[in-house]
Amino acid sequence: MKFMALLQRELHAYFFSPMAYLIMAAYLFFTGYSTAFIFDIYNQNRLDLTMREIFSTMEFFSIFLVPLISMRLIAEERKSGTLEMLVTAPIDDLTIILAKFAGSLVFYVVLHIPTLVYLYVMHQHANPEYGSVITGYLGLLLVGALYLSIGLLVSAVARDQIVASLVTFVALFVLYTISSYAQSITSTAFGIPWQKVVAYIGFLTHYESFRKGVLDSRDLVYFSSVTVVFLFLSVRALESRRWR
Amino acid sequence: MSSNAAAVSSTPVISVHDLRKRFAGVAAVDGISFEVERGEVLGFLGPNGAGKTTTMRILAGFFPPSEGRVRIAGHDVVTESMAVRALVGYMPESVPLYHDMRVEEYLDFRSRIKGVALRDRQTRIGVVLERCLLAEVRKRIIGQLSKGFRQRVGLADALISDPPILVLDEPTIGLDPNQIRQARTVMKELGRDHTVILSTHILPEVEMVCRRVMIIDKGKIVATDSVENLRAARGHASVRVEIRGDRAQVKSALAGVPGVESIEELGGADGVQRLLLRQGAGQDVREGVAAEVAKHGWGLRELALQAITLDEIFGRITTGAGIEGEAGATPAAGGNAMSAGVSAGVGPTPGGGFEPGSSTGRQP
Repeated sequence: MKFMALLQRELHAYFFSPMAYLIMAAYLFFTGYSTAFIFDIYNQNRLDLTMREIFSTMEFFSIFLVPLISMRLIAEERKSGTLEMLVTAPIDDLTIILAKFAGSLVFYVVLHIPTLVYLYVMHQHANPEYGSVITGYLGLLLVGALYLSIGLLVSAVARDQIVASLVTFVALFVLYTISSYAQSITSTAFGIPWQKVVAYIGFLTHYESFRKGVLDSRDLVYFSSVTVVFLFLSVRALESRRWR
Repeated sequence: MSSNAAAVSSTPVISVHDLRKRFAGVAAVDGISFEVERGEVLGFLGPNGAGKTTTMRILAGFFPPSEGRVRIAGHDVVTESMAVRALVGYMPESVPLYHDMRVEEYLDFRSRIKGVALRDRQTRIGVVLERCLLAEVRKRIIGQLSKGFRQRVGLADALISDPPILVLDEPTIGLDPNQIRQARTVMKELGRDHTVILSTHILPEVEMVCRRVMIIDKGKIVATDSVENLRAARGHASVRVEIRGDRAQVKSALAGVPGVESIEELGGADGVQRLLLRQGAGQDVREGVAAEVAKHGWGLRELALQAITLDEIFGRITTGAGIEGEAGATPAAGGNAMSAGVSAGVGPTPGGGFEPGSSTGRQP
């Protein structure tokens, strides 16, 4: 019940702020523009168009989107002092973190509902391969959850929202870059000693199978366990006022 | 842990033992111990930075002490933090609130995270809205409310789960005189069925609302006393006079008035003497002074009791003289920048020396 109250509060904070709609509009503009661009290229080259490339685009723009969603989670409350009201109420820190995480994830999901338009457009002109659409969205959800858990941890330690969003962005960007590097070397014949490790840590390789329409339990385990680790670290960060 | 339910009725509700809190090596609270009995209203008096807020945050379970033990209703604030937080209604100094919520929504949210049962929720919200005079703004967005209303929302929040213990950090800071009066009335009422700790640096407030006062300075308790003893200190108030007449004559005549212990010159020009007369405990020299002036036919331009300021109280205590000590060590009261004044002989009326905007006095 306390969890639900907190979750509602988080959703209220998202959906009653103009900022959220600005972020939503920007995200949809960039992904929509890229989608139109991809449509065009595939059309010119008479290639078979699938949603795979669209998911790739959304996954890339999530690097910019997630820091803007997650920055306020705890940093805002610390800055405005409401964190004091929150943690002196009889709720444990885990519930606070989980509710905040769930709230941001719900916002992330809602924000992707309009992207179904891309699917509709594709449905009109090509075969979107619905099996891979479902796993693609599932993959996007898992990537979003992972990104958000990183953003939540940063928000829990950052001084204010600006710092939180910048640090989160840099962290996600570095992760993404390492990831695409790892992916590129897996696809070539040249093996390097760390290749397997880097490829495993970089989540793009795990996301890749979702885009292809493959549900692999190893990838599910990867995403959920890394997310859980970051949520756990966030709880510790929130508790840190107790020993700092 | 030796605490048990049976012992609660006889043991103090709040017991603080050798509490210390350091931030980056600097002691904010430096070894304080005190106890609060059930139903007591304790005033926590001290300048900014004295350690009031730190102590109250520890009591509210915001952060643990660096050293020492704090028990609330037998529960340790560190090991049984959840139980403590459920028992304490806490109102932080700046009253942080979610500015995008409506008053009623906010209280509903707070009642839910504080675990108020569904069937009681509407009743509790109604009770606190009425008690904190918020009924008229229940549908308003908090961010658009005035400071006074926000303060009341903070108090309503502290009361929403009907906790037996209230920890209120500067509940009247930033309010206008009318709101302060209302807030004090509410707090006085709360004192009947709650154990209350409130912090302030306004002297009349402590006198009105609290039965016991604890003065804290630089992280240490410098005095704990009943309000009666604090009141006794008012007997040492001085009298300020402005008289047109020869300086030497005026001074010698006034020195002869019974009760006048010493005379201090505050300046004066054009044959007008401005003097500060210190009077003995329980004395009131005003009529004697007036009679003397009339006898000599001087022009009496002003005759007023000089309020005791918090500065003076602090001065007395920190110089080791104690609350009932002599007034000799007090600074010249002429400045009177800190208007936490107490007009001797006047009841705790709104005229008790309060001036809006000046309650955040300078530190001694």
